[in-house]
Amino acid sequence: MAKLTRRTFLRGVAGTAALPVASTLFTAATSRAATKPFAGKSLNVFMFDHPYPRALKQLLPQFTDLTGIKVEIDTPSFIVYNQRADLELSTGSGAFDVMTMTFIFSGKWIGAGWAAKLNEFIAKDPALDAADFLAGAMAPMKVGNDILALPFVAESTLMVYRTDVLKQAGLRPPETFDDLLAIAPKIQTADTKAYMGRGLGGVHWIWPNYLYAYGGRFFADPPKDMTPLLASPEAIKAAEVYGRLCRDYSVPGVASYAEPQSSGGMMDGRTAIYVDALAWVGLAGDPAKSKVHDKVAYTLPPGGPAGRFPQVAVHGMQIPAGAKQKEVSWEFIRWALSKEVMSRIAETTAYPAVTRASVLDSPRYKQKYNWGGSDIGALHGQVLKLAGSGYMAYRTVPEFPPIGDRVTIGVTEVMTGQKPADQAMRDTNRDIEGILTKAGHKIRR
Amino acid sequence: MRQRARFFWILLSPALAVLAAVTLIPFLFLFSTSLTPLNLARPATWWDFSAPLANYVELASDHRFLNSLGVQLRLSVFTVGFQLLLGLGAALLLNSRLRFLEAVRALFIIPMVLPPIVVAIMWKVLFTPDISVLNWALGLLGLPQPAWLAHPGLALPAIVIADIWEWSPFTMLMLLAALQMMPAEPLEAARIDGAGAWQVFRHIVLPLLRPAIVVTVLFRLIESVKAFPLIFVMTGGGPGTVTEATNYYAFLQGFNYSLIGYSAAISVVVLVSVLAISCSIVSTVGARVDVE
Repeated sequence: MAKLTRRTFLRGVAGTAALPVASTLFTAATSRAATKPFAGKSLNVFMFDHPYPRALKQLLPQFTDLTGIKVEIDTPSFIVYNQRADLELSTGSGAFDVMTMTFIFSGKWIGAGWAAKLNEFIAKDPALDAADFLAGAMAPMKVGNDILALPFVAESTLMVYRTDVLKQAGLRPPETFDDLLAIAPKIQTADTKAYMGRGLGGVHWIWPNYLYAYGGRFFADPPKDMTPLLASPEAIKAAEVYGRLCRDYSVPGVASYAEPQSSGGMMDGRTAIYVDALAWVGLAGDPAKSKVHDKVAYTLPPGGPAGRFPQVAVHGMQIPAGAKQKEVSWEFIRWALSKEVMSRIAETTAYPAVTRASVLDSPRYKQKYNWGGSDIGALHGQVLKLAGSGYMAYRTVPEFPPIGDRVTIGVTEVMTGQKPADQAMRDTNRDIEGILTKAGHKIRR
Repeated sequence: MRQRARFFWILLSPALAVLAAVTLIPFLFLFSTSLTPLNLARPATWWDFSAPLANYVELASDHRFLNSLGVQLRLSVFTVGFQLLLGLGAALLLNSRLRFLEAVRALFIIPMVLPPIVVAIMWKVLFTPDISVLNWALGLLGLPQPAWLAHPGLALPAIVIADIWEWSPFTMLMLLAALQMMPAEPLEAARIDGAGAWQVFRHIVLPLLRPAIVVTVLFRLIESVKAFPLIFVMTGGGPGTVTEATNYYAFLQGFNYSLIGYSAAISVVVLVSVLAISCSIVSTVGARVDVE
């Protein structure tokens, strides 16, 4: 016991040179580790590639020291993960002990009974302090009182902008998407495009900022009334504006950009304004990675006539219903999502999208995430609060994955000039009616 | 005689049983699944044969499916056509015993032996504007530098180019083998009779190559329906649906949306279409080959 504590302590000091963190690191886990009840066990963890599991991989030796459990973390890309996870969960094979609960699949996976309830584990584990998880981040992980996963990331869409470019043009950051469209020609140069969008699977994550701002919606009243409303004048207007920004004021080929390319375009100074998830826009303010880190500031994404509707996506860790050693799985989750580990990841990497209130409110977090004079924590909290009003309900309906894909196709057709916005959105709505009818929903026409 | 036939059947039956197990049983499973609404998220749909033709009826009015058939057709026609032309041209040029040409032949084979996923990543890099050597070269020449994979008019041609690069060596090898097996006497006789190079090619070489050409086209046609890795890596079916070929659409339905029954119906339609096209090629061009 003494040997273990000393080694953990020394490694923490050497690794982070942060005595306050190291001294408290893994205290909860250490108390249980005295007996190492799961020593010699192995865990297969399956998550999509993301800064959080990347940081966890670096900390795994300490988890193994503490518990005697060996862990393999497999992290394919987001799209590949979802394809494999969907199939894996449906077979109930138990090949993976811990998996990511992807936000847009949560309705489907939870509804199908593919995730194990965590209530009993949480009840027996006061050190976890489940009440510390932000309510907005916990909401998609629960059905009634049943908790099916615990969140490791609460993504919020924010806007990052180049202060030097706007200052030179004598402009303020756009408050609405109409403003953004109006200032785009004034700030665009041959080297720096005005706006960075996203194509591929990312459209159904970025474009809803526009859709809701112009007063549109995906469905009439999800999940009760799933009548799709994507051919409405508001949806058509939202597709037109996003399409025009991407076509005329963004980098060539943006329709094929995934998040690494889009954030890369902002970091190397090729664009002036970028709206995306905090994990990606945040990279522009990271001195270690961004060429423009000292010339950017952050604010909420623009709004529109209906208001401002920044998007939120929460991903968690779940134990698949078919997992064969759930106690061991839980041992990993309670460590990986402990206050100490999340705090350490937020402090040692560029990871502001935390899900614990204690980390978000800590002085060290506030000191670190103050990029370009913007209080990232406050903005992040503001987005989570706005989303608490319920406008994100569209995203966790079980049928969302094919619907999101269809929306991506429709909006991309507008971005690339294949179809005018009204035709593209009418076609999109027609196909989505088909998807929903097939799934048994009654559609009002 | 009857005993001899029975003996043959006894010897053949294990091989036939294995063949049936690896081909017929999966196909029967696929076909029977296509008659159900099997959705992985709804276990009750497993073996629900209450509306056996529902998936096929739905396919007839599914705009994405109908569009995917058009994409597949364009992809197959252009890739197989160009591969045949390039492969035939290369085979005619390399049809010699010279050591230098044998070395060149080995170089030509490299694209074909690369794993498809490597080919897809390589061409994705070549067609991505920020890092493209191709675009850099176009820029040096003062030509436009398009965003190949995001342009609705260039995304499918980009996949066609990658597929042609990967598989032209196959057609070259097949036709070169046929050329090298070709008897020299008819060619010499034609030349003695005063036939020019074009006449020899048109009236002697091409007819003698026809069986090899039919087999090569059949192979490539069937393979062209499997251009999945290129689409998956390079475009994801986009922009919009301009590169969403039928097999990719079947994959999306089955593995992204869990609609295994519907995906199976799409696969059955693809299988039947390929069989029908192959049979029609064999029965038209192949029949004439036999006669000649």
